Amino acid sequence: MIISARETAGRRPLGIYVHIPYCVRKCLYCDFVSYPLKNDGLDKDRMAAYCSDICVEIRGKARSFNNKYYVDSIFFGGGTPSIAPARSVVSILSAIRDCFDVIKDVEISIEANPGTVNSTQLQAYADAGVNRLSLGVQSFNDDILRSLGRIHDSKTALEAFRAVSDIRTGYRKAFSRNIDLMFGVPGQTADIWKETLAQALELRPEHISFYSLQLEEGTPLYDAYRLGSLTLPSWKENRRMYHMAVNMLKSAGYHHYEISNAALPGHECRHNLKYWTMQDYLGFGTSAHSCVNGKRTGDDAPDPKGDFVFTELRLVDGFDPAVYYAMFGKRFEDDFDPAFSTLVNAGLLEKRGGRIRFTAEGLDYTNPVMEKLLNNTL
Amino acid sequence: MEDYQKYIRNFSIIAHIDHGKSTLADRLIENTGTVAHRDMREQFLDNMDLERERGITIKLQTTRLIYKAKDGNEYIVNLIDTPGHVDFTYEVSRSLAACEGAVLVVDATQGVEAQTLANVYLALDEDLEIVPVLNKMDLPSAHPEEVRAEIEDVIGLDASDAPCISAKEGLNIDQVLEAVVEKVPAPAGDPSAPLKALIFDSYYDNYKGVVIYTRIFDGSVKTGDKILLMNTGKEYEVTEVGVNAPYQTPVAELSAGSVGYICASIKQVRDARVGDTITLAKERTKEPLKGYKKVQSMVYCGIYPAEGEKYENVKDCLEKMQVNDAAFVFEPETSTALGFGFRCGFLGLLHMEIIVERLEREFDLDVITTTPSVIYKVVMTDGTVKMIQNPSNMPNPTEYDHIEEPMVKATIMLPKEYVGPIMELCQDRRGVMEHMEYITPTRVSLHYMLPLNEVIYDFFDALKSKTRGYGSLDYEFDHYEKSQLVKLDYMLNREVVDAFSMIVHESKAYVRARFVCEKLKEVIPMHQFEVPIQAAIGQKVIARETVKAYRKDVLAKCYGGDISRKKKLLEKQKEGKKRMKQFGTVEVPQEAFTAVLKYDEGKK
Repeated sequence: MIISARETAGRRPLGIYVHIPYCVRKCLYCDFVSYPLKNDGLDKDRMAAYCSDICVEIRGKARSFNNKYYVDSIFFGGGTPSIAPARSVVSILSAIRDCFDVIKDVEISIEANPGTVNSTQLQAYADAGVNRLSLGVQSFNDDILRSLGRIHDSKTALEAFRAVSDIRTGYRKAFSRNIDLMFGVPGQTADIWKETLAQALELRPEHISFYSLQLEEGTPLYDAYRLGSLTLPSWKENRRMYHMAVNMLKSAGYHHYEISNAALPGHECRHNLKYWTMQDYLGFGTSAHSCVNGKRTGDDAPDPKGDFVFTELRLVDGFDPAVYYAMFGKRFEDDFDPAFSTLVNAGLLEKRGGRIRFTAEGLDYTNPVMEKLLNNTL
Repeated sequence: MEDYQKYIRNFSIIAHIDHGKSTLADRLIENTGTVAHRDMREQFLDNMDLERERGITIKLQTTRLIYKAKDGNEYIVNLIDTPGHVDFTYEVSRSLAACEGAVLVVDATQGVEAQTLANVYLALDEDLEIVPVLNKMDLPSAHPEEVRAEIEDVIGLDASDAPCISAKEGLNIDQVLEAVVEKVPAPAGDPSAPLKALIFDSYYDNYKGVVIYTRIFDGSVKTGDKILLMNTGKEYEVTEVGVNAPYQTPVAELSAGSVGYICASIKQVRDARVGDTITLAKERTKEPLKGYKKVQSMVYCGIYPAEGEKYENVKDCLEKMQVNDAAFVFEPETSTALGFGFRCGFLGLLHMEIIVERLEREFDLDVITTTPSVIYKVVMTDGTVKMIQNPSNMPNPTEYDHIEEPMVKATIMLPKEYVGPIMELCQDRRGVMEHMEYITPTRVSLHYMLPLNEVIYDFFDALKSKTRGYGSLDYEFDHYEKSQLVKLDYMLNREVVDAFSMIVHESKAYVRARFVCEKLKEVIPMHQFEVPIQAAIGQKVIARETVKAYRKDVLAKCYGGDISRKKKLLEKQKEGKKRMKQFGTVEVPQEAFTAVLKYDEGKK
């Protein structure tokens, strides 16, 4: 059911994540749960069957949540959700609306890859209420796209972005648009990266994610690098690219709000923010995770304090220690000293304006800092 | 009354691995109706899953069969199954000593193999009547006449009337039993003499304590008797005697000529050693049976708790394992790299693999095993001798005069077309050929003196791979010999990891060092910094590889599903790092320890 803001009183917001684990093929750096299409003529049936299973899962789970929660964000992630039949996405959304109370201004995002979208399909998304579209562009340079094993080129990316921008619901643009970009990629120079950023900014999407390439064990890129057949930009170069992006985005008026995310003010991703602020969300589909009352699925040794630090510090503005105190009844310093003080003295963390957060330098060492905090070691 | 022994036959089945020994045993059990067909599991006598999976018998078993022969009489036929691997030669010899005869199973498609021969000689040593049988006659490639001739030429046995059977298909199984009854002599013990019985196996049972498998030669034994184990000198009171039919069935007494089991509240298998003689405490037999020896460990390795596994837990399980396996020994030791653990001794490499696998499977233990080693005899400059079985305990070269290593006499049998590659292999492993003979126009027997440390290092795998599985190996310890040995150390990020240290012949040092460094490079994950892998003799580095650095200072992506997983990677001692061992600043996956031991044809 769709409800108004007034009807949410006394209830908590809930995010819903739906995992669509299919891809045209797997990118060379990808370690997410995803399966390439088999091209045996049955892919569509398989995906449709998977999606109808998700509807069953949703109906089964909703009952215990509906009284206490209302849904204010829905996110289709993958894999490549845009290769699933559009009507499957639509039917999942109806299942959610059937079983949960969904607030009127709900944020509904879907991830799409250039080369897997067309206007009819996008219009179907829009008609079903999808209002945020995240496009996996990664780069506007064809050599870089090839070295990542992407299925599209820059021309396709631009066409896809235009198609997304042209869709309307009524007179209004249908989608708040995100572009995913990647840096630190083999063969990428600061100049190539700068060009991609400039091209992205020219398009003026509402949201830009800019990720440093991570080499994950078990991926072809990891093995190639390990065995010496692949050269990456040096770590110094990688950081240069990162700060270049932060500066360019800021001067273009974007709000850098998470390590790898920036948005025009008011367009921060509501759903993703839940991950970084310990809010409740339910995951549906293969390998999807849930977090309810600070407890994550499959987490047999819950560590809410550690989770808090690990997620909230990803926000560039950090967190208010008063929130920590309210949640755990203890001062943040009491739980995380001496590691915390040491990190502040080292200039990697700071307490400013009543918030605890990474310094600009600390953003280049988030892992070692987290490691010290989580283990509370010097 | 004396007459009863006329209707007893005690026999073993001897064969090379895969020649169908266990399958034949199954058929015999089934054919005599000892186990109803519906209760038959494939290879009834191989009780352990591990045995069934590997297709080898590790622990011997014994079964009493009742067979109605063509002469109209009913016979008690005791089948004593023997372990099928060179590591267990002593156990085989003791179970043979419990018999008057042996059925020799020869694969009619393959002919006589090294182990067949070794076992035949063991049987002949015990004066057993040998009944040859040709198996696998259902296969089109069976060539019984040639194999018959081979048995006659090589072993000198008349095989003209050897039954041609197929254990798999159940063909002519009766002929085997008939031959046993006809040819194997009946036991001829003296039931009124003092008790004289042989322990040919024992195992630990949670309820009964140690269960001894025994052959009674003279006298008899019953519940309540006080028995004396003559070699260990310990006395026990018998709580139960019985026979395996095939399940344990208590009987009133076991008397001369019989095979059965005895329970006497014995706490540990090592107190009822295979080969020991049982007699009555009050009325002793004069002489113990011949052939007893205390089994010696030939191969040693360290067993350490893996990350997240408790030392006490490992100790507990090793103790339990030892209760059931007199040949397995262990003592505590420490390693700078791996912490507290145990030095464990085994009969051979297979024995070691089996124990480690059982620890992991039956006890669900997570352990790291170090490079196996033999025992070196180090003659110090002052003339004293040190026995070293852990490479990291090897004294400094300045402190000793020389090192001696154990040598084994090895017999390798193979089709003649593989002689070249195998001679090359043996030469590469520092073997010295003693002689070579043509058993038949197509089959060759090679006799080598080989250093044991070369044999335990994947020799068997190499032999199998170079002969397409047709080569077979048998070996026994011969003597210690002076040798140019060096200690190879490995360093990760410039720190020695003692658990990888190994002793190798000087001439092999470079090749081994390079091989191990390459293997380590393959399995060690990337770190935030470059990880040099070095091999050194003393201070001298002789091989080097580098694992490239990859900085993971920032986690770029972190959404719902990533949070727990990525957070764990940053937390020490948690699930994410379980299969890793930290050496100084370097993390090494546990597979590294086995990876450095694997034979790799491509790299040779």
